Amino acid sequence: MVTNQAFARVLLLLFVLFSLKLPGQELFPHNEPASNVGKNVLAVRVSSETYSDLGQPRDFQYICFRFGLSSKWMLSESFFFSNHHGSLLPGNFIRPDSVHGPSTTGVARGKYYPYLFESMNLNLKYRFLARDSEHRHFRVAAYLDLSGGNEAHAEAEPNLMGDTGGAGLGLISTLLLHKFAVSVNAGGILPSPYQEAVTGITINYGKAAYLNLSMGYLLFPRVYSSYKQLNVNLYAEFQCMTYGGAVITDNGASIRIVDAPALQANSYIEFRPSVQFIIRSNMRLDLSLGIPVYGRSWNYTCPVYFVTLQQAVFFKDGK
Amino acid sequence: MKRFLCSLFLLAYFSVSLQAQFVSARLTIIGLTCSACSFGTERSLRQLPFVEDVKMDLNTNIASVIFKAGIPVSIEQLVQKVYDAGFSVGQVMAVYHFTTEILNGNAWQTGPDFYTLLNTAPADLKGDKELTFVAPKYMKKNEYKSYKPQVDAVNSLIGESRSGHRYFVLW
Repeated sequence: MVTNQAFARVLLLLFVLFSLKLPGQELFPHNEPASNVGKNVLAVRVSSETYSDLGQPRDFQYICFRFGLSSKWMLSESFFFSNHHGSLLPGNFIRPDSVHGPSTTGVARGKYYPYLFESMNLNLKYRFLARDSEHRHFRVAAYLDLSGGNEAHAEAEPNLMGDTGGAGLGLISTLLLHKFAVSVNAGGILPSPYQEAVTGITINYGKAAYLNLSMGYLLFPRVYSSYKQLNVNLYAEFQCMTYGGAVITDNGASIRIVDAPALQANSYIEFRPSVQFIIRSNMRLDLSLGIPVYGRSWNYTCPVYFVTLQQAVFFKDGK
Repeated sequence: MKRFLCSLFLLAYFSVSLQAQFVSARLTIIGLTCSACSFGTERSLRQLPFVEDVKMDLNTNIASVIFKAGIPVSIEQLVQKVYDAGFSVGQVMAVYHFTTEILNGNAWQTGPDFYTLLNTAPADLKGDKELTFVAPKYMKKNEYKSYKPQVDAVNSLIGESRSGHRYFVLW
């Protein structure tokens, strides 16, 4: 957990950096901008996330194919892999209690799980407003997320990028000015429950709402001379999340949740600073870190380290 | 004014196709700053069969396009490629090569496309002439406002183009 002093330093640094006369960037590593990839362009993204769960290394990787159907519509398909969950909930997940009825304290942290394919996610984004002028634009897009996950995810927080199934809707507003780019992504998640056929246990995850703020700027080059120049971009992103508590049943019978903060309603803010390298104007490498600012996510343990690589492939128009 | 617009209509309708061609164009692309965005836009422009070469100024975002000789050029397709890449066009200027044909009045036809001049044509119509295109997608919206009454008046008189594209241009 960073201290308030450290957080104030980060904000001061951001203020100084955004005061410089630098062109902005909106290729945000964590939050989608309102802009899409171009028509008939396929962007292939490979991303890796790693953290330590009480000494147990946790890895999460995904590959995402993003295709521009037109300048306004973009379709993304992601496939997730991780060692975050077992194939089933542990046998002692529900404990009998003759006085208060069956209860759970959640799943113990730091356990080993095999690395497996998790689920997939389909995202459709529609950019419905674009106001462009020299070195600036204001754009607004809406998106729909559909996730087919049914993982043994024993945290209340829904996550359509791997952990849980369900649907999400959101709105993105992105402003690119000559000096900086800023984007706000607000949305909600309606998760589908985890249903374990073998045991009859059902976990209904909390509904979630989030507001993410992203800012970015170009550090290098100050003046462009060719596509071959290495671009270095810096980003500051904040993930603000709030969600309801989980409701658990065992063959229809309600299960009491005892001393399990991961299964209770929660809110948190996380800061994700990133450095991005654009190579030959066509490939990007993002290095990033996730640190809590207020509260925490129980889906993982900070600090979280991210590495993302993306390459664009241009297809010829069929016309 | 009415007589002028009628003459425009007649010229646009009966003018003979000129054996002329666009040589090059300069597109001011707006809504972007980064070289990755410029790269995507250049790749999009290069897909057109009539585009020979594209030189992109990465600081001003002006694309200088050279056209292939002998292949009909569509300025509409050229502009659309910028929008397909996710950006907008702030200005389109194209060099049109006039040969021995004489332009009658303020309108002419090249292939299936009609061109209407919104200002007075110069006396000398030979050689390369740079035209600036007037349309909501081809220029900044606030700049188009001043030309809109003129464009609307010609469109209402002539009606929809039965084939090709109708362009409004300035010398």
